[in-house]
Amino acid sequence: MNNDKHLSHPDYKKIYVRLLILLAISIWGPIFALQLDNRFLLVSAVLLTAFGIGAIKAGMVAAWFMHLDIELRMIKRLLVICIFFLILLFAGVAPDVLLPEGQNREMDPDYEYPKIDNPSTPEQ
Amino acid sequence: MSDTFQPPIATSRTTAGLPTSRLGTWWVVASEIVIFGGLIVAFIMYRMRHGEVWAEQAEHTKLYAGALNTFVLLTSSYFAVCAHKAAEAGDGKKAAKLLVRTILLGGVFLCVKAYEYTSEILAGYGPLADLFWSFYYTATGLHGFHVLVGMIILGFVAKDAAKGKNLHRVECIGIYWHFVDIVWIFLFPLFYIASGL
Amino acid sequence: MTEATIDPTSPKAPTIGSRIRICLFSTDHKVIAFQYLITGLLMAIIGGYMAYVFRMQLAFPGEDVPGFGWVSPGHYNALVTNHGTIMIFWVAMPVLVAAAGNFLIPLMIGCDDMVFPRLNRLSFQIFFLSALVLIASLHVSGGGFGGAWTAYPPLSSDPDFNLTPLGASLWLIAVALEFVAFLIGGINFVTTTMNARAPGMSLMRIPIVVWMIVIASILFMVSVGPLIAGAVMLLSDQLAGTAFYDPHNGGDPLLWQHLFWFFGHPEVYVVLLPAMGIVADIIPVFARKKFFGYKAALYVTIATGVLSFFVWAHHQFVAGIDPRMAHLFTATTLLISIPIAELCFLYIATLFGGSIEFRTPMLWAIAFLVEFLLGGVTGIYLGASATDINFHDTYFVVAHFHYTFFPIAIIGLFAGIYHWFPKAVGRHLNETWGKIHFWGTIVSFNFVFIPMFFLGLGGQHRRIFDYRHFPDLAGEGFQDMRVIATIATCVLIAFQIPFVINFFHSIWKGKKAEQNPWKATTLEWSAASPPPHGNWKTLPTVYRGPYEYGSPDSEEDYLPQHIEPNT
Repeated sequence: MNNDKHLSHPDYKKIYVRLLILLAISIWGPIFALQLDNRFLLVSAVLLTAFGIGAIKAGMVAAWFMHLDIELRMIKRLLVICIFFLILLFAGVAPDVLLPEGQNREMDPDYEYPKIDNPSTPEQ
Repeated sequence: MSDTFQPPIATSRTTAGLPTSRLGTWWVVASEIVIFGGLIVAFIMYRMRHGEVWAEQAEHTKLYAGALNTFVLLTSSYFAVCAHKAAEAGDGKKAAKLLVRTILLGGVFLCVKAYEYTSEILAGYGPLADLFWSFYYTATGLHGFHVLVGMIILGFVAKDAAKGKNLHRVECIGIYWHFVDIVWIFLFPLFYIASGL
Repeated sequence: MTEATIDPTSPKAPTIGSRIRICLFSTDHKVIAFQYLITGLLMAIIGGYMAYVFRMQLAFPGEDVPGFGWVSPGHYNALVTNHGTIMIFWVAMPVLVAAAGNFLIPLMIGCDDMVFPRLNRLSFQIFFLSALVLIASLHVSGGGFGGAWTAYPPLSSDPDFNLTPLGASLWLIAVALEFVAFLIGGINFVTTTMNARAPGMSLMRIPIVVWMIVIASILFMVSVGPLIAGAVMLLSDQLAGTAFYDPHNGGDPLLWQHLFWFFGHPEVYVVLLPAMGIVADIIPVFARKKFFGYKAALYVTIATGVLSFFVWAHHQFVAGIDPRMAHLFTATTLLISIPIAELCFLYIATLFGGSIEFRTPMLWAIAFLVEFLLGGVTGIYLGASATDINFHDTYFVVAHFHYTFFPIAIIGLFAGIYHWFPKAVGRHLNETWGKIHFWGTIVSFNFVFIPMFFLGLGGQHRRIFDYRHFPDLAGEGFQDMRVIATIATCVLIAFQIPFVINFFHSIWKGKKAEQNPWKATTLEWSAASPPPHGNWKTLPTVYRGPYEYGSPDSEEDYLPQHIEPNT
């Protein structure tokens, strides 16, 4: 069944050790970064160490453990398309969730609501 | 009943250039990406909106437990990929042995998770304490459910692999397991590391 | 279960036990397609009955409805909500995507079954379970869920608001189960088409209907994920009391609307594309002409699929979304009419200059084009935010929506049934009764929904149980139009009776159909009628495209895909 046997397996132990090193950096990085005074530096350092290294780790697992590096181009495209639509979802929804100014409507006490004369309730 | 089940000829065809089982697995992974992705996108939006408030809550997640779990899952992934290598070499016994280690590590992951949940709830951070904690339990719970399902399927695959049957399944369940690992790699910084922001 | 028990050509006489096993456990794609079709049609009867009850209530408010009794506001809301849910998720989806896909994909690409037959069966079993859960949700204490099929929070998330604590949760669970079923089914369709095609069946030789079902499955798969996550959050809001959609505790009800419509709009195309594909496959057969612009149709379909992800917020123009985003979504919504119009032009170009036979499948196919055009044109007003603010939640929306969905789910379905019935059963449907059914359905359908356009323009809001409370809407002219629509609804339902009789009569007593009664070219017509388990004795090989009509190379006017060219 497996008609496309992988010719050679990379050295999984080496990749595993690298992943552990990256894990250590991503844990310790933010702890040190939080002692920084500059807010901008702090945020970018945390984001880079936490999410940047997380993305690298994910990429390594996907490329070598899931063998995406030698997988068909079609499969890679499929996964990229899924992620693209998630970014689209974020872009479309974020303005409504993140920019809520203008949604803080308040009742105007001076406003006179139009009078509605209710017809008598229907027989039931 | 499944013993006499004959797979149709269609299953053995490979017009697209890769085995059907692996193609199907990739589609499962793609559909899981959007399920977890939707949850993570929603969480990121809320996290950015409630920055200061949720940062306080996020301080109370247990970094060491999350780190330990990341380590456990990475190790289990390493065993899974070694099992794939062994299965491809035709060594079903060795593959089964490695898969059993993967299952055990999945069990360790769930135990750590259980300890975490218990101590958080006892400390007053249950699922209803704050919206942050609702997200925490939903996301990690959904992920834990996938770990559990993965362990069960791994068990079936390992049972077959020990007899030298259906060795191509070792790669497919491996792809799924690595995907579950990748989801955790993203949940870990979201809930545990980037707590100070 | 052995292969022999599910082989209809097996010499062994089927016992009752083996019949039951076929019904419950068969992995054959044709049996599963039939199961989807029958379940979908049964659910359509339930959905149609609901439409009858609430139309009667609107036309004759306060009076007992024959066959139901007095309609309370709660009943009315539950009926409208579940009518929408059933017709989209339990009728359109199973018959157009699952039944058509299961029956046509393996037969049209030339393989013996789906690639994952047991997953296919699991998909149907989950779907059937979801249908049972939905029906159960109507009968629990508190009644069925009544918060509209879109289930906007807070109405759907808080039992204090919707007053149906059990019904709302069961409804949500049923919908989630249904998604899982179609996720499994869709993965099966896509994998089968990618990997199990017959030798020679290159991408550009796949019949359009298969392409469209596959693209629809991909759309469904990519769009439904966030909603599954959203449904988990909504369920925990309902049951555990979390605050994902509760603005008082940091949530945002708009998030659900976005997640729902991010799925909901591609969903329109998920059901539209298979119907479009069925029509695309019928028109060349009965116009005896090659499909005009095969590649154009394919690319336009893909463009529709991609664009359908960029338009979702046009359902939310009045929901308080960011007005700048509303401009963007107006532009993309108007853009998406271009590829769909292009598809309709291709169909008309195929008809142009053909030698058209007005058999029943062709009548339905042409009716699809005409009626869907009306639905599409009225959609332009709703896609533009400026006019939509006026039309939102009026009967104009209801009429527009039904002018798209009725052609898709009902006309497209009947076109498919009348076309492939001889192949699936081995017998013909009666033409005369088919034509009576056709004209009765089409004429009464227009009488149901054209009045609603005018009602909507007059400002009739859609979620109102009794218009006598609203003096502006209770006038004579309005009420007359409501009565016309209601009577037409009853006529429409009555005209389905000839179809049901025709369907069951023809299964056992119809005229025998030969292998290729329509003289069509696609692969399924080269199998026996009905196809046995495994479809062909030797699986076919493909030598040419799917629509070779009027070919000079053959003595007759058509050249099937599987005939070897004589060199």
